[in-house]
This record gives sequence, C-alpha cells and structure tokens, in this order.
Amino acid sequence: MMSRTTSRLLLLGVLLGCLLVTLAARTAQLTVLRGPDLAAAAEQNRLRELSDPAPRGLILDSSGLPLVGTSQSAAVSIDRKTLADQPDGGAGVLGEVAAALGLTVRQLRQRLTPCSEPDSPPRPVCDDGSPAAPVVIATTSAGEEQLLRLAESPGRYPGVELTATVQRTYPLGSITGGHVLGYLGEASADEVAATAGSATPLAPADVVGRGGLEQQYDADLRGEAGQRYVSIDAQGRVQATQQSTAAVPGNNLITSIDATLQARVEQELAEALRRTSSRKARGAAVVLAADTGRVLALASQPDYNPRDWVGGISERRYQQLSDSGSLVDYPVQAQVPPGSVFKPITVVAMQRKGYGLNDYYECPPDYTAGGRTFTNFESEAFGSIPLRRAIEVSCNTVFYRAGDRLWQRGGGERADSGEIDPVAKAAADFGLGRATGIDLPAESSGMVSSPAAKYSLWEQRKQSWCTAAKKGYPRVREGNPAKADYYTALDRENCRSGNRWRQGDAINAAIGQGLTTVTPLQIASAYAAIANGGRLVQPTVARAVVASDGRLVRAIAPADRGEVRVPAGTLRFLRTAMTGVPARGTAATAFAGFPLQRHPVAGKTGSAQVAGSKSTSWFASFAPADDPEYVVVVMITEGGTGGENAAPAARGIYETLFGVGVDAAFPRSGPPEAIPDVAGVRP
Amino acid sequence: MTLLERRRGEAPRRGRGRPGPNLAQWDWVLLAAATALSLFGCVLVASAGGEELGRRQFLALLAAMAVGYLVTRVEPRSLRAWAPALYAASLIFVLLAFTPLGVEIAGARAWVALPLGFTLQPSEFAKLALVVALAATLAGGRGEVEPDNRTVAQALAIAAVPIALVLIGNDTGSALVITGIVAAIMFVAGVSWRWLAGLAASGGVLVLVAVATGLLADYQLQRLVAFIDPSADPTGFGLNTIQSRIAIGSGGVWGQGLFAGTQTQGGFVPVNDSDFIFSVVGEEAGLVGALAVIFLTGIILWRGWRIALDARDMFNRLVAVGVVAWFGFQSFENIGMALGVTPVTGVTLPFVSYGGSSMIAAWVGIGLLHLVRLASSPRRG
Repeated sequence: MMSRTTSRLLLLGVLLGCLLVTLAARTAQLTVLRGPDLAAAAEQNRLRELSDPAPRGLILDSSGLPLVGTSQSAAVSIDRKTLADQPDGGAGVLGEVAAALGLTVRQLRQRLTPCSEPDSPPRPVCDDGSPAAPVVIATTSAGEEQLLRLAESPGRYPGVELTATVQRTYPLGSITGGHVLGYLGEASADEVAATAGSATPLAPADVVGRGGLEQQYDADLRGEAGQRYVSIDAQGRVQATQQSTAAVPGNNLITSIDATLQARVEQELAEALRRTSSRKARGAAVVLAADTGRVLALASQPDYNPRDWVGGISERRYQQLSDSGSLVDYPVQAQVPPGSVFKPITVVAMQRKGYGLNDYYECPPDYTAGGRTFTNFESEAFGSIPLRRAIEVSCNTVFYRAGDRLWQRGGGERADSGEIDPVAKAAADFGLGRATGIDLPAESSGMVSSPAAKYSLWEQRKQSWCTAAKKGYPRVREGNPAKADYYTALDRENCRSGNRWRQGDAINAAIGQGLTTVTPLQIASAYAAIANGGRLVQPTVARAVVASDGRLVRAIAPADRGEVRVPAGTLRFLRTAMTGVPARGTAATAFAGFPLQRHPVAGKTGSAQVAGSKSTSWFASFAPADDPEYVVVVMITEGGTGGENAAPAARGIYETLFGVGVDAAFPRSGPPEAIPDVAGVRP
Repeated sequence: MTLLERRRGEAPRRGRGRPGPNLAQWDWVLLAAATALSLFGCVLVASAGGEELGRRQFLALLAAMAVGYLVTRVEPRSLRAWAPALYAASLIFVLLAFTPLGVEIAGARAWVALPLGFTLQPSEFAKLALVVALAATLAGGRGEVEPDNRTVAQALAIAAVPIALVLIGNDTGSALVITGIVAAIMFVAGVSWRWLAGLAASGGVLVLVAVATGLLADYQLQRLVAFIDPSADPTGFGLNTIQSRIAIGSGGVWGQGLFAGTQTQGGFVPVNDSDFIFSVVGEEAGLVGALAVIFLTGIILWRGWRIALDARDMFNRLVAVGVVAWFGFQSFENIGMALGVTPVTGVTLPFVSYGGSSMIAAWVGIGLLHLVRLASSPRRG
C-alpha cells in the first residue's frame, strides 16, 4: 500500500519537475530566440519621436513689409490609438473635449476620420496625415482659455495632447493676396513618404505650403523641425528626453509684390467684378515690371482669404470656396480667348509678311470669306484707315482680311498641317501656348490656334465626333429635328475634315479667337516684350530668400526667355499706336480725365467672344508709353467689352502706380531694387 | 512501511514536553531558498511598484516568517485535531469577502478589508486549511489503506465548498489551484484510478456545461482565450500577455538591470507587482534572473517533496503533498501566464508577488512543511 502512495508521490514529483522545465524552456525561448524582436517591440512601446515645429519664414513685400507672418500657438491633438484603447472607444473623452472646446462630438469624429476612408468628409476636414500621427483638432484661435482648461488635467483625457504648432498671421488687413500667398495644410501621408530620405523630410504633423508662394517656396520657408526623442510611460506621460536637436527657423521670402499696389489692384478687380453684376464673372489682374518681369501685384477674383485656413478650415467654408470658383488662380490658370488684345501679335505677323505699318486698310462692317460672314463689333465701319487707327478702334475686318490673305498665301487648305502659320508663329514668339514659368504653382499653358493645334485636337476628338455623327443626336431629334440635323452635320464635318486648317480658322485666329486661349499672365508677358523692346521676361514673384538673421541666402533673378526677334521699328510702331487706344480709341471713355499727357498709357482692349456667355473683357497695357516701366493686364470674364470693365480697372491701377489723386505706390522712382534688410522684422 | 521507517538519527533528543526550536532539525536548504526568493521578491516589488511597496513587502516577509515559525511550534498531533475548526474558520473567512467587508479587485470578489487599509485574501488561507482538512480526512484512522468510497466522497464534499465559494467570487485562478491541490492529495492518498478518472471526466463535463450555459462570466472566457491567441483581444486581456511577453523578451539573457527595465518602469505591463511580477524578473534580470526564480521554486518544491517522502504517516505526508502541490501549481499558473502558456487568472507567485496574505500564507506553508519534518524526526518515534 505504502509503495503505491510513494510511487504516486514520485509521479507527482516528475509532473512538477516537468512543469518547471516547461517554464524554463519557454523563458529561454522568449528571451533568447525572440529576444531581439520583443526588445524592438519594447522600444516601440516606449520611445516617441516628437517634432518641434520650426518657425516658418515670413513672406514680405518689396519694401520689407510682412505680408505673411508666423506665430507659435498651442494646439490640441488627439491620438486615435489611445482613444480607441479606451474601454468605451473614447466616447467619453470625445464628449468632454468637445464640450470644453465648444464643438460637437460629430465634428470631432469627422476631423478624426482619415481621408483614405471611403465615407470620410471632404478635405481638409478629414485627416490627411499619417494614420499613426495625432490629429490637431483645435488651435489657440479656438480660444486660449478653452485649450488651457484641457491642458490643466493631462491625465483626465487620455490621448489628448497639447502641442506647439506654427500658425500663419496676416498682418496687413488691406490685402488678401490669397492665390499669391497660398495657405498651409498638414502634410499628407503621401507627401511624408515622398520626402523621406530627402534633405528636408516631412514629419507627419508638419505643415506644408498649399498654393501660392507657400507651396512654391515651401522648402525655403519651412525650416527644419527640431527632433526630440522622449521615453514615455504606459499613460503617455513623458519621462525623459533622450536627445534633441533644435529647430532651425525657416528663411524669409522677399517678394516684388508692393503691398499698397496689391491692395489697389485687388480693390479695382473686385469693383470690376461687381460692375458685371454676373455671379459667374471671374477676374484677373497682373502688374509686372516691364523690363524684368517682376510681379508687382497679382490678383484673382473671386479669391480666398488665407486667414480662412488658420487653425483649420471648416468643411462648409471650403465647399463655399470651391463652389464659388475661389480656388482657381485666374491670372495663372485661366485659359480664355484673348480676343483683340491679340491683335498686336497679328500686326507683327503682317509686318513680317510685308504689310506696311503706315499703309491704309479698308475697315468695312463685315468680311465674307468661304461662304461665311465675319463682322465688326456692332458692325461698325471706318472706311479706309491707317493700321494705327485700326488698332485704336480695334477694327476686326482689317485683321480678318489679313488673316485670310496670309492663309491663302500659305497655301490655303492644301498646306499640310506641319506648315508654320505666320500668326501662330508670332504668337509662339511672344510666348503664347506655353507656361511663362512664373514661380507659382499649377500654371496653365494656354493654346495657340494653328494647323498643328487643330490637327492634334482632331486626333483627340475625332472618335467622339464620328460616333456622335453616326448616332445623329436621337434625343435632340425628338424635340427639334432641325437642331439635330445641324449638330449631326457639324459633327460629320468635324469627323471627316476637322483636322484641316481652314480659312475660317485663320480668320478667327487673326483676332485672337478660335482655338487660341491664353492666361492673363501670358498676355502680360507678351506685352512686356512689346514694351521693353523685345525681351521675353519670366514673371517672377520672389526676389530673394533671406535667412532669419538677415543673411542673403540667395537672390532670385527672373530667368531670361530670350528675344522675340521683331524689328525695333515694329515694336515702336505698336507702342505708339496703342497710346491712341486710351487717348481716342476703345478705352477713351475709361481713361477720360486721366493725365495721359504726363503718364501716357499704351494699351489694347479686348472683348473675346465666348460661346454661350457674355464676352470676356480685356485690357492689356503698359506705361509710360515712351519708356515703359509697368505692364498692367486686366481680364474679366462675363465682363462685356474691354473698354467697359477691364480698362476702368486698369486705369485705377495706373492711378496708384503714378500717384494720380492718390499716394503713389512707388514715390521714389519705380519699384525698389535693393533687397530690404528684414533681419529685425517680426510681425 | 519500509520507506516511512527510514529515519534521520542525527537529531539529539531533548527532554519531554514542548521542545524548544531545534535548529539542527530545520531544513536549512528549504529555508534558504524560500528566504532568497522572498528577498528577491521584495526587490522586484520595489522595482515594479516603488520603494514604499518594497518596504511594505519586506515587513510582510518578516511578519510571514514569524507566523511561519509559530506554525512550527504547534504540536503535530493537535494540527490534525484542529483540522475541522481550521477548515470551518477558513470558510467563514472566505464568506466575509461577500459581506460589506469584502473588496472587489479586477472583477474578483476575493479580498476582505482590514483596518488601516490592509486587505487580506482569505482564499490564500483557505487553501492551507483545505490541505489540512483533506489530509486529515483521507489519511483515515487505521493506517495506510486505500480510502474507501465514503472517505473519498467526504473529501470531495470538503473540497467542493471552498472551490464553489471562490468561483462565486469570480476567483477562477484560486479555483484552478485548489482543484490541483485536491487532485494531488487524492492522488497521493491512493484514491483508486477509477475515482480519479471519473472525477476528471465529470470535471470536464462541468466546465463544458459552465461554458455552454454562460455560467462562466464573459471575461473569464476572454481570458482563457486570450492566452492562446492574444491578438484576438489586443486591447483587453490579450494586452496583458502581449505586454508581459514583450517585457520578458526584451530582457534578453542578462536583463536590463534592476530598476532599469523600460517596460516595468513605464508601467506597460499591468499589475506587474503581483500577477505579472515575473515580467519584471524577465525584463530586469533577464533569462538568468528568471531561471534563478524557477530554480529557487524548484528547490522549494524538491525539499517539500522530500519532506513528504520522509513523512512519518499518511496525514503528515498528505499535508506536505498539499503544500508542495499548492506551491507548484500556483507558481506554474502564475509564471505560465506571464509567459503566455497558461490562461490569465489572478493568482500570485508564492514568495515573490506583492501582498501580505500571499506572503504569510506561503510562509505558513513553509511552517507546515517543517511541522511535518519535525513530526517525522526520530525523537517523536
């Protein structure tokens, strides 16, 4: 009997021994075999890299006045993971934080939704940052007191952190400058990934420039964020700072924008838009230094106020801006037909083909070619007039005929599409059809109407033309068989021979219609070439990058885009001829009372036809006409004739440029050339 | 009777009556291992919970050693006589946890509040009382024969009450350990295989029924599953075992140094001063320290097992077996859950985990082993 219990005791001993061996083996497995992995997991548990944002550089006007300042402010951010780890999924914390900030839980939840999720709210309400990074939900602008209330009890709201963040300030109330300046947004996960390993890598919480100079010169303005590695405990409390590098402030950007002028330009453009009494009207105004191409003012309407983005833009506001077309930078991105402001370029083509600049030309009310009749504006007729006068009164028929003759001389429809059209050639010489290279993002290149352009357009569209011609517009036919027939015929024609450079194309191209589209900036650049004797300038907004201590990092010189190769006499002729436009031509009403004797303005109106809406109002000009310093271009869609709307705005701009009835933008002589000392400038 | 008749003859005989402490008869190896483990535990508790906690643990150790010594002063025969009273007292104590005096911690109603902010875990003492009661029942009165059915049934009834009570208090861990103790005692007591197999089978059925009928609380089920697949519940109970494994693994062979473990000091492992104290060993003292703890536990088990083997009679043997089984199973369950090989249930690591009840109970266990050893010495022949 005893031997039985003893043998059982032995068995029990063996069992206990086995248990101990199991534990020892498992311990060895975890510490030795899986040790390195688990040690890495432990590091991940514990170490956090925190980024100290660098003060972003200022953006200053040409005299050193800050247009965009910077301030450090506090921000509340929420760590989604910590929130999710709460027993209630963070509902309690969100409720309290929302209450403290005067927001709703729904707003917080939307803000915390990654943009990558299918039912996320639109940018920038959704979070575009790294999924692992805390999301900034409010900044000091939400009310300092409310933030402090959150900060007082750090342990109370797990996952909620108070951090320093950089905020933009806009010290000048007189200007908005939306599209020139741009705004800031949080770096998206893609951007963080794209800059990894570069000289200026982005951290998930970093802000980057979006639009305008903020985007273009982001790397200069951004500075280098400081890094801190901190060890934290399980509650996320910082226990020690392991190592840190101080933040390097961003460099300041000095621009050629003049704050006074910019304010007037924005104001004139806004007024011009109001005059149209059209909600669909869009406007652009450009002021360049004629010799250098430096941008003195640049306005786009409707535009946005960069202040809207400070502290995060609301979903509603963003939608409003988007719906109202405020997010398009019209001077840089609008592609509209130039209409008559194109005519000086046609003159260059005419002169090259032997037309006499001082000859007389017939200006009948209309011009018929190839079975089509092309009319003057309001079918005006001036009889036989010199070319100069044709420019002053913007006589279309003179240029129709010239376009037609040049087309016939070039071989008419028999010319193959590779043949260079003289008008298209002149337009290309003046930089149309390609981006000017301005230092602002997303510039459009426009298009020059030419045989090649027409051919490539046909290649793109022939498929749909031919398909539509085959179908014959059955829907339209139900209500209006005649209309359907017309559409079908048009499409069949386009399908069959839409690649051909026809008479009508050449005639339209001569007055800046047809396929030709331009940006206001391209016209400004072309007019600068007329003004400065044939040098094609690159519009440039920035003048210099200056370190925060005032040291010049680099000067920014506008790139040279070469000469337009037009005889000096032709340019001189154009400059003289265009002085007649405000004096006694199409812009005479707009410039009535302006001291043109003292400040002769040379300009050209344009009223570009746009199918289905009111014409686009243009005024492209430079002054003083005898020694041009400034180029001023105004474009307003739905604006009617150039004289009606664009020219009055340009006149207002010249008043500020020359100090007519108001203080001059540049009381001394022209825009400053020396780079202002901005070492001590703090907004 | 041959094995039980083996005696150590080296102990000098004293006079009659209550002998004083006979230092030569103490198991110094056992004492050294238990002391070393306890002291190491104090250091670990200090590391995990702060110096103050370590100091309290040290005071608890001194108190526990004193109580353990008092246990050795009990007349061995009177222990058996006192068994029913001890058993009854322990059950009342466990029941106190369900009165307003009771305190609930981590979902388990297993503590009783004492004055001055102390709490006691009655189940720790219930285990000991149960060991004595079962030993008294199963040892029988007529020498070493296989316990008859009636005796076994009686033992089962005695065991069932405390198991039921701790289960009602949601203390699954204690229930498991007590079941292990009961099984070990019955096994060594010579209960027939038929009984043992039947009990194992009905135990399995009971567990199935408990799961099927929802008698087992959800969190208990979650814990049981979490150790098998911690990623199934990475923020709840799975987190404990994930974090514990991370801490242990990051210790490597030599550890990060006492008081220097990043996971321990950062509080990443929950309840690492008691249930998960082995994670502190692993992280701060590494494989070496962890093996030392397992080794010292092994020494204690070996010496206890030796005492059981050398016991004079069945009662004494079963008491020793009960204590050894308790130490063994509870240590395995505790260390195992830190390593992710056993379910997460809240049991302490004897001698090491923070807690006065646990420490005192462990040293009462050491005292009982000595009592058995002293009873087995020739002078009592």
